[in-house]
Amino acid sequence: MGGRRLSPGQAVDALDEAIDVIRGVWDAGNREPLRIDGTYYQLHGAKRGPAPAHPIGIRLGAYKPRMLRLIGRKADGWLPTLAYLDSVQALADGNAVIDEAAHEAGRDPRAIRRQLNVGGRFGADPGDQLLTGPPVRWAEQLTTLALEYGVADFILASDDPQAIAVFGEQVAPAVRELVAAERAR
Amino acid sequence: MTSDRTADHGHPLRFGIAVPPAEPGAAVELALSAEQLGLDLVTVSDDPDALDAWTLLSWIAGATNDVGLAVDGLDLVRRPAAVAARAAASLDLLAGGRVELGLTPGGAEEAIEIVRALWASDPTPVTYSGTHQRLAGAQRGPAPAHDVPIWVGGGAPDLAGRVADGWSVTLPGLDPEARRAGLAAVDAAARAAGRDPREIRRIATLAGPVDADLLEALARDEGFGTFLLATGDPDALRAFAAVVPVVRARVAVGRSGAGVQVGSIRSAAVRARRRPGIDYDTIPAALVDAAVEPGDLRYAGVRSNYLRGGAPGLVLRPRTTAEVVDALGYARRHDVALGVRSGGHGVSGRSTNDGGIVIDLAALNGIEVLDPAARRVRIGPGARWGEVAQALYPHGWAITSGDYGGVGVGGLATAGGIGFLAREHGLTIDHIRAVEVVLADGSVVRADEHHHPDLFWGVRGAGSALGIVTSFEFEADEVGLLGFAQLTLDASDTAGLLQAYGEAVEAAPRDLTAFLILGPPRRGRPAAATVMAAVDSDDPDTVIDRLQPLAGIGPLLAQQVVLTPYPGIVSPPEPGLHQGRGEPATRSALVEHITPGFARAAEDFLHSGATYFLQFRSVGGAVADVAPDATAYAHRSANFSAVAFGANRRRLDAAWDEMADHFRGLYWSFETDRRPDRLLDAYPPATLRRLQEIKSRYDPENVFRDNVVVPAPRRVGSWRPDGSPPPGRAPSRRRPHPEPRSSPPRPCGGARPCRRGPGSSGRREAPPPLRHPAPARSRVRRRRARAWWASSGR
Ligand SMILES: Cc1cc2nc3c(=O)[nH]c(=O)nc-3n(C[C@H](O)[C@H](O)[C@H](O)COP(=O)(O)OP(=O)(O)OC[C@H]3O[C@@H](n4cnc5c(N)ncnc54)[C@H](O)[C@@H]3O)c2cc1C
Repeated sequence: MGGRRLSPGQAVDALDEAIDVIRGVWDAGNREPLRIDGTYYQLHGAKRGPAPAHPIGIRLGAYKPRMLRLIGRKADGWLPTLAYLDSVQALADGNAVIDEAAHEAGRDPRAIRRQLNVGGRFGADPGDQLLTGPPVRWAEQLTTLALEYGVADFILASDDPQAIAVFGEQVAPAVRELVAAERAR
Repeated sequence: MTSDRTADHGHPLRFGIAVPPAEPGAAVELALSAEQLGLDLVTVSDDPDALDAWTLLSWIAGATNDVGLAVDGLDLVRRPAAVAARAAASLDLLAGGRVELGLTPGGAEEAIEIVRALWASDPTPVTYSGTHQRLAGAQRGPAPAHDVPIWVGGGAPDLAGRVADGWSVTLPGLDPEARRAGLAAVDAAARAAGRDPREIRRIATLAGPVDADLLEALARDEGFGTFLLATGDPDALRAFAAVVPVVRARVAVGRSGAGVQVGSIRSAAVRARRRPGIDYDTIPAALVDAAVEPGDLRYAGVRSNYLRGGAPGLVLRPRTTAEVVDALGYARRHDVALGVRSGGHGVSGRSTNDGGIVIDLAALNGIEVLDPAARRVRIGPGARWGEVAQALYPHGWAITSGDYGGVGVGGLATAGGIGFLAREHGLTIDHIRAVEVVLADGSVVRADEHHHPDLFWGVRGAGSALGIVTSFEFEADEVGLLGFAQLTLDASDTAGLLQAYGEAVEAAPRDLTAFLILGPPRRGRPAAATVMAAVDSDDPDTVIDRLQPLAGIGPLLAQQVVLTPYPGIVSPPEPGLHQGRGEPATRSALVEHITPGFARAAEDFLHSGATYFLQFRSVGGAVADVAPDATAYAHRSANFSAVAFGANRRRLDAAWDEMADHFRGLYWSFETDRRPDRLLDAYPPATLRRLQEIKSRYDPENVFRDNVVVPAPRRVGSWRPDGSPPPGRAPSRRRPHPEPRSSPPRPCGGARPCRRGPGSSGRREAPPPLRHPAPARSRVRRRRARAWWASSGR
């Protein structure tokens, strides 16, 4: 939008500050005017509020180590897009970076929700790629992502009503069931 | 208070409520009751202690239908103007053009420059360096749905007069002298900037009880046109609404007595872009606000058609039949081109022009079931076929239409209508039971079998020449799930493939309708054909049975077969503006059969480089059940409609003309060659004679001539009443009848097996089996395939 141009590194720092600004404004119960003297944002006693109706989670779609560490330190969720990850191994690696940064910051890694944007194709023939084929195959694969990679929220990227229906009516309940069964063991 | 008549700027009066931004539920309640009470506007103020103004206004926009929406006093020192520009434009798009933008005086000058720059339709990025605002190469857009008026607050009357569209003051706390000084400053600044002071609306926000006397005086003596009551009290709102009609009536009386002209005025910048020959000041009052002229922001969205660029001087957008009558009466007082537009997908129809007037019927887009038992449906010309398919599907019905959901009802249903239900259900025009038409003289008639039967005959095939159809009554058919296939075939032997295609289609029962598309062979890739075919059956075995012969007309490279409802084939258009450029070059032909000779000629044509898209649609079947003289679409016996697109008019014409011997006529809607003989190809002598006679009664002055141009009898090119060529002119190359077929006599199929013509080779005898249809899944992908129609080769 024609704003200032930042290098990727500066952008991570600016985002770091921005999270403080957002949390500071939402902290309406705090009587102190909001003061932030950052490199990118300066607030000289700004009014706080309104406070949101519930604690709004700040989740970041991140892939590189500095951003992942920022998530571990400050954010409430990690939301990458499956298609942008080199492999599912990247999920495991990312989780490890986030967990370590969370520990260092004295946070419980479980406070950070793992989420995933997914896309794929429904059809009779199972392809050799993730999330291609019949709904049961989707359900099995998402269950693996939930149990072994800690993903709790799956968000389907699609403008196809039929795919959305299959995802909601068949895949999601099946995943819930499979995960519950596995956790109960 | 002395009465100064010139102070009344004649702005249409508007009344609204300024809702306190404290509590969202209450704000929405107030906004809804303002809308129900008939008020015009809801505003929220930008208050750092309260809810964010844009978010609240968006929430209100979602809950209301047609009340205007404004943020008043948006502080663009505190927030980047570029963000506000996008927010305002986005909400204007989401809310259907209801948004206005009021700024605080501080920083407004820079903000206005930035906001307007970002809304402009211009591909270059915006760079700006001011005191408050800085932009480093910002992408423009989105442009709002309409010219969003920008107001500035009371402290900056000079700025308002110079650049804004409105000056907004809060009356309590501003003494009358200061107020009048401000008004004078607005006027003076406007004049100094070469503007008409009437371009600037004056907005007054009031508090406490208001009485009619005060509002009348503010309107008549000071030129205020918009009144906002700042209140959170529903009773105060009701009391205000009760005063509104009194004020409207009194001001109307005062204005007519004083001869004050009422209406919004276009800015000097907009007026500067007006075209000669159009009397913009006398546009009928009901049409003024929706009218679009070249300087308007909305112009980019209405100037062009899907396939054709345009630059009309004025686009009128009536919403009712009465407004169409007004628009036509107005247009007829001008000596400029007139275009009639429904869905803007004209090929032959030039529903845009350069410097003329366009009557755009997009708003007449109702789809209404009249009689469920008789499947009688009334549809406005501005509806699109994809919307029609979607609306009828829940009833289990469909109307045979074209293949593309973006095409408008008006243009197609006045010409023919060849689509994927053609062989089973005929042409679109065969399902029309009645029409309402605005005639050249401004009268409105209903035409059907018994009323104006000649007009009814002519509307079905050449309606564009006879009047403006403002509604159609159709009888829909019962249509359930359809089989739909997309087959890709090797077309190296193009002639053989075409001939086999023709035979397979003619042999098939009429529940099959197929289109075959060829592109020119490209280097390194084998020539390929795409066959798209619909089978009017939801039984997978029947679907496969019908499609199997088509899969065998050449080596099958790829296949996709689905079961889909009709709106899955003819899907509603993607939102977006028409952005056609230049002129399309197309040719059309109707042929009885794809003979070996025609197939060879078509192969040569494809290889000539003159075309980038060549299509053969099946017609015949139910189309041929209707007698040639029953409608103005006469070529009922043709089994195929061929259409070619070319990049170059002359090359396309030269190559297409080579094949003329094979043609039986043409479908006017797909033809853009303007040589006079084409009219005769589309409308054979008896049809044209009747059309001329009807034209001479219904449109003797040839008002309607943007599409089928029906000449007065003596001026028909080579045509003479007896059908003979005129003396002294070489006989036409065209033979009266197509060449006799050299392959086996027709028809085959049904119980009788079809032998293949000489073009078919042994390898096609055992076509690969087709896969059974799966339920339709990806609408997106099919839509893309169809978009190729218009985009390839461009
Ligand atoms: C992508 C595409 C696909 C197409 N597919 C098919 C198809 O499958 N089958 C088929 O038969 N045709 C098809 N056509 C051709 C189409 O039917 C015609 O171009 C038709 O005129 C478009 O109608 P419209 O209302 O969208 O066009 P417009 O441009 O709005 O109108 C075209 C012309 O129709 C006349 N007209 C429009 N509205 C009225 C009215 N209410 N009363 C009187 N005259 C009016 C005017 O002369 C106008 O110039 C297609 C065209 C395109 C661009």
